[in-house]
Amino acid sequence: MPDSPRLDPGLSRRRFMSLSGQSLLALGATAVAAQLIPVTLLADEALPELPAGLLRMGRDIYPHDRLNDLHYAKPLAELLAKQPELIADGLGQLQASAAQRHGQSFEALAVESDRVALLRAIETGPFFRAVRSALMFGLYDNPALFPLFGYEGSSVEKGGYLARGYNDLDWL
Amino acid sequence: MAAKFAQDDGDVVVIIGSGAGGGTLANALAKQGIRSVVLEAGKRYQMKDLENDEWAMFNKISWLDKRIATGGWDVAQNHPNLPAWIVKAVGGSSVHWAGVALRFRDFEFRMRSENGAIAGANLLDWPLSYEELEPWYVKAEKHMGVTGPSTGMPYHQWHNSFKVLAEGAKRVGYQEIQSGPMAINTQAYDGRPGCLQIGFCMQGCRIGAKWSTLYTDIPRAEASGHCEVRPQSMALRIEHDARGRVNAVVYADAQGRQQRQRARVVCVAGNSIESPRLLLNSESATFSDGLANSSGQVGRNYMTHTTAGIYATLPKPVHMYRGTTCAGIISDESYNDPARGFVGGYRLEVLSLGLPFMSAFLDPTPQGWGRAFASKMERYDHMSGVWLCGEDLPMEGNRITLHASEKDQYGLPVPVVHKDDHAFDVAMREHGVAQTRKCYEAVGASEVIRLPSYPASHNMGTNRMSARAADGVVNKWGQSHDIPNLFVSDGSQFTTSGGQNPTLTIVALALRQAEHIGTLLNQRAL
Repeated sequence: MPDSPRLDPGLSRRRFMSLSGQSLLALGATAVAAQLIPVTLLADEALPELPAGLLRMGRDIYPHDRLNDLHYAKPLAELLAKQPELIADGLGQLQASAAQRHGQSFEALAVESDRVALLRAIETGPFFRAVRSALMFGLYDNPALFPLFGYEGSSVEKGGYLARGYNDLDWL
Repeated sequence: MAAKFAQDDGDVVVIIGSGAGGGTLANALAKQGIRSVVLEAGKRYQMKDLENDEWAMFNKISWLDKRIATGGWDVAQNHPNLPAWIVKAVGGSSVHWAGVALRFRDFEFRMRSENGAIAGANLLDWPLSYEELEPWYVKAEKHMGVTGPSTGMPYHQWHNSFKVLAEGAKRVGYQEIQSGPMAINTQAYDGRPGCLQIGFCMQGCRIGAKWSTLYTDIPRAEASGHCEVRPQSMALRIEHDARGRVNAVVYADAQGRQQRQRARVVCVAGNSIESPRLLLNSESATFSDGLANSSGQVGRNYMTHTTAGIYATLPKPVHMYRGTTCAGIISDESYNDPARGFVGGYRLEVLSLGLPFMSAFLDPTPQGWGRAFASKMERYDHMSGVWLCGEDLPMEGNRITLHASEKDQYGLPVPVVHKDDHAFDVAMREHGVAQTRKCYEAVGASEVIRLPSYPASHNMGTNRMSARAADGVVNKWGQSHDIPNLFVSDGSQFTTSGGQNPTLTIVALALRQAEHIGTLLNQRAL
């Protein structure tokens, strides 16, 4: 089990962040993205510890290149705390498959389609389903991320959209 | 002042369920001075508890007790323990409904006569006609506040998503394009405000612009002094006397203790899974196949409407979540035209999903992840979507049964909800998806995505009306053929589904039934 959660406590923040393939500077370049940089990140607070393979898997399940790793890591860390055995066993098997087929760890596989093929093979299993479900809520039911998808969330406290563009479409 | 009735008061009408059927019935009986006890399985929430949050409301109000979906329908694969998306709370599914208030069309009451026997379908005419129901539709529309002629309330302004769909529909030649009728106020009506285009209609209207029994019929029935509503009261079985007349309902209260309310009349309005389930669970030495089941039709002919979700990605932003969830209807296909390869009709109804629900329903299959999925989600604000609502043929094998061994928290057998498509259902769905695609492509859609069916919010037919006792469970008044003081007051009495959202018809039938029960009580016939 090369990459079980318990065997990889020392995942560095630097490495953790590098997985997103982007820099904070680039993220800050646009106004929209600026809203998305979590305060905790800017304040240099500790990020959740997470096996790199699990984070890589999460980013491959719902690959939004604009999203920072932290948004994946938070729900995955919660899942890991809730179901440590399921995740450790599942990730162990994923790493074993990666090693067997490619001689590398899952997160080290550079070609996305190689990783996706390994994930497709386990997509009906409980481990994959748990990770997918945690991220579905963590990414798409996360008000902090709504603006990135062009969604505005709760509106009643703003008086709805009667005077705020419910029928403002003018490009037809 | 809400009444409080004794458990041994055998003179009350006991109504099981407080939604569009039960809640309406309680209020309509109260207006005649008829006393009722409403047993509602769910909790009581207030308007302030209704949040603009899809998952929070789903978890708060949905009926999440275990059910098992089987058969060939999408739902059995994608939502094996959630066949139906309905509500367990005071107000029932009238909290969740989107407000589309369509009447059945004339021909939809006589599908058997119009189309003859259809192999594989258990098709039957309703024992009542459109003409008989029409005045009750008018009363229901006034009662609920439905936009259009009955109230004089204007239809809703077209919101962005409907503008897109409607323009596409026009370009492919459709003509019946309208943003209603909706039971959502466009101006103040009946003590409730006009719509603020908040969205989140299906999470419960936070301001009460949409009709729901939660804040209309239920409190008004209570205020009359003739009605007591007991939340967290799950009906376990209906009992009967030696003559075979029902006389009490046994239920579990909030603490799980068994209670027994005596009754002069029992009205079952628990929606089309729980209502037949209760009748089946009430089997006795006299009624060994369950109550009201001499026909063997209790639980059978389960219908959900023939449905699909279709979402298009448009060239520019739409922001479909702004405004009502469902106020936009294309009706050109809602006629009986067998030349299309199926019978009955369907409507195309605009339907918005928030980002959280879109992620859950865009592709709930095991394959629904990866870059293709994520890139669709990144175009969320460019989407517009439709829900197909079409006639769903009754089939005897589509039915609610009791699981042989598995029990729920009340100790009752878990309901098994089995459904297969009829070949005509499949043909209609394909037709509807193709027509929707044409509409959206006519306004430049780059991608049209077909979603599998959602868990069913429209559930019908499992205690159906029939002229002959051998063909169904209740007569044209919703009264059991077998047991005269037992009524069915929800959508389970539908003989066929029609291609129309069911709530308006449920309310019209409940108003009509209330008057009939009043007449029978005055005649000492019950």
